Amino acid sequence: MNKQEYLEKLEACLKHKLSREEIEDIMRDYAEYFEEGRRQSKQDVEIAAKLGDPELVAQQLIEESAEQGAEHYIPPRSGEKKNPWEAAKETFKDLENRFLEWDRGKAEKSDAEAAPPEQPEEAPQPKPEKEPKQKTKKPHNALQKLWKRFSCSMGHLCQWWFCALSSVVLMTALSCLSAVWISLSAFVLAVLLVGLAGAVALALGLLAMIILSGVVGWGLGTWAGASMLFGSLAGIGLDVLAAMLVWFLLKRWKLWTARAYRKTKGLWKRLLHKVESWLVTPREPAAQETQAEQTASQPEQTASQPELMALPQTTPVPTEPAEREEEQR
Amino acid sequence: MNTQFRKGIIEMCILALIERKDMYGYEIVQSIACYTEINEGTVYPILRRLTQEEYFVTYLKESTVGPARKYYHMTEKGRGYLGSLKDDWQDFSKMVNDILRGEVVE
Repeated sequence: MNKQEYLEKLEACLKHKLSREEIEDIMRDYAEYFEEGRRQSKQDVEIAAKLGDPELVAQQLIEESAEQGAEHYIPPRSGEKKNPWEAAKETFKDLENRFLEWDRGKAEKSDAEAAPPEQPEEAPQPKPEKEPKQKTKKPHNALQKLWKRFSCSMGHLCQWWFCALSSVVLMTALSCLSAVWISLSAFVLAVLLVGLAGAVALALGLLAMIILSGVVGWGLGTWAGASMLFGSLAGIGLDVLAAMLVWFLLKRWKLWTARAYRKTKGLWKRLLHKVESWLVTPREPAAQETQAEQTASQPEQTASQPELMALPQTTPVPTEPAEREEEQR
Repeated sequence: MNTQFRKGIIEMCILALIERKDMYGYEIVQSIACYTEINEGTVYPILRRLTQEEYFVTYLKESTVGPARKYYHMTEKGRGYLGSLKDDWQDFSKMVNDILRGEVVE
């Protein structure tokens, strides 16, 4: 695996799990590492082998990032997505949190107001009072939660719908453009090919005329034959020139179309990636995913263990015939 | 060796190396690699976390050959953290050694 392949694989593994800035920074670090290794006249393959499997490295980077996130609160990654729906959802959440805080503060205040008249002698008294309040709060909270979930899902739905619609529009536009482009290039190609075929046919006709000019010269007189001969020779010269021009155009066209094709291919690829990133929304907390990956990788390990266990049993088998032969001797 | 345990030790080694002088990624990896066999890819994740926890600050320095190098410089916070890690390590290794010696004597 060379530098490019290694970095690409690493990037692919990190995509959607860390923010764009983080990934760029990581890419820079590992690119620097490869460059330093190259300077020590090491092969890319060697450096990549020492670094270890990019998937494992990516997993570690994600884990470390999650670990760090558990110790210190990092604000939600704003660099990842900057579409209005996400922003609206965030502000809504913020407002809701503020309201809840304010509400809680008010409730505590009212508790505090209620407590003083009963004097500090009866300390356990305020407790039974608090409980019914919490009970009355519960349905309110459930409703709020329901409302929150509903609005979140509506936000998601609208976002998804918008992305899907815009991707369909974009894809259709690009498909039309591609179709027009392909038909145009086919048309030009056909014209050039017909031109080339015409030139060849003309050249053959003129060659036939050279032979004919001998017959004409014998029948009608030398001058007519000579003029026909020179005329057809000049015609062949012009025809060859024209054919060369068409050939040149054809070559240019091929070169140009190949370049354009490569570019449109890149455009399509990028568009598809974009659409994919729109429609397949990344799950935010990386910790959950790494946990899931760990649990997923565990069965693999347990699955590989029986294989390992089975190996020593199978290896003695080939030696047995040899032993038997020895015994027979 | 337990990977989690190993990671902790390598973290301490990285801190100890950078305490002495500012170093860049490749240099750090090679300095550790000449002492012990390590998976070189694991050093960068640790470096990133320690930087995020503000034990290091990084700066780019132009190199005469090739691209700029990212250097890691230890902060006061990092120094404090390393101090506590070192103390813990001394206590821990003493305890382990005592137990190991005890086992040999018995």
